[in-house]
Amino acid sequence: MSGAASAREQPLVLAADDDEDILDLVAFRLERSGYTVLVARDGEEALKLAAKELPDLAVLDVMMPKVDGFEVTRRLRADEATSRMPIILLTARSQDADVQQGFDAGADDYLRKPFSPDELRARVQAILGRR
Amino acid sequence: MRLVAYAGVVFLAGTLLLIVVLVARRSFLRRQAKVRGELVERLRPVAIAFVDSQEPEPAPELHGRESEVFAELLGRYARNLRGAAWGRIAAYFEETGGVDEQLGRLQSRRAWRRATAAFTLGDMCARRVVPELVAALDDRVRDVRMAAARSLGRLGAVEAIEPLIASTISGGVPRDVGGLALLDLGPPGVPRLVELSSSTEPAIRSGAIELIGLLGEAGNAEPLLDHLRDPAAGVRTASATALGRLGAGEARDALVRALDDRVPDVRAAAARALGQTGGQRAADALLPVARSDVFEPARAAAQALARIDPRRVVEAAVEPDAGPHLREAADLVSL
Repeated sequence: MSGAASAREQPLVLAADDDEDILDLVAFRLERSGYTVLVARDGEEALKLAAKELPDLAVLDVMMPKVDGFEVTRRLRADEATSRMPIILLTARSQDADVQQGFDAGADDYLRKPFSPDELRARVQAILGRR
Repeated sequence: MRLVAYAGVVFLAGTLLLIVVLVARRSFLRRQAKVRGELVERLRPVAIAFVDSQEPEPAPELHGRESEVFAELLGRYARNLRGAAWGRIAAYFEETGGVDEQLGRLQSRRAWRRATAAFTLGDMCARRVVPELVAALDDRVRDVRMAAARSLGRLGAVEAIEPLIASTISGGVPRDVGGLALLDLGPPGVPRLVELSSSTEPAIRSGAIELIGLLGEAGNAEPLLDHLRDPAAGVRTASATALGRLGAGEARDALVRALDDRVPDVRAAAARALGQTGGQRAADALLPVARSDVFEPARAAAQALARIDPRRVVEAAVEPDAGPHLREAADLVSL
């Protein structure tokens, strides 16, 4: 974890999705669970925010405009500053192959849409708690 | 002359009146949209807090437009949520009478009202409406049938798999709408699909098998193996495709045998599936097909072989009997 990350009082989570409703739901649940949430509406914005703010964790939609979640994951992993950032992918797809593709890209976990806010919180807590 | 002047005045007055009405209507609609937008912004946090509350909370007291917008927001959130939040939305629509109101509209004589009700019911998370939505799959109007199919998927109505497949196959609902609804049912639908894969109707069998390939996992491969010998070629093709998607290693031998099927489509599907399951035995079996079969199976076999063992394709492509498909696959490998 970077110096900026460890100095924060509340863990910082980056949530990226082009669906405003999902962003609202994710941000609400995580903020209520004690996280500070940054939101991005496409993959490009997510990459910029991740590089600038170095969040403690990212929740990324797979199907995003400009750069998809798989590619964002790969680029974050390739950048030394963000290479160890935990990543949870939000996927609407139901095939195991897509989940596998997410893990191959470097994701730590995945969540299928429609999602349960309780499950999201539990997974975020589990990953951040391990670090 | 006077009559013409009179008609001209009437025409001019009518035109002016029409313009005034159109401007007033436009202004009214713009104002309505603005008010609605403000309501959405104001009620959005209330709706989120309601669906994602830690303890069950009473619904906020809202009236008129406010309650309409609130219900619309809940419906939108319902599309993205499951678990306790989904249950809260269902309880809200039951308690406020929204579900009964839409069920009443589903019986309306006006098709647009029935279609809207069928669509809205899917966002109300009310599983008790499944029988009515299944009945709506037989509505005489296609829009109603499409809305009902979509809502059955949204509600995760596994019990509606059979009518959904039948409606999709018969063209009652467009294939993409029916397919999406069936995909929405997700893995819980697989056991019922396995049952349907033994239907007496070949179209039902192939539809069910195709979906098992999309929704299932490697453990679901076993019941599909026998269908590689199904009397209907469409079913054999669907089985090979599904086994490939499931990445079922235990299907490799059966898929290799399917490379000798009498129907080219089945051989092509088996070749593609072997490309997904991989393995040395698959590569050995694909090479002669890639060299000498007819266009589709040969091309599929060459591409599958390139996926399993790219070096072997490059080596085979320089041999005199390679054929166009191995050479094409080798060119793609070297790109």
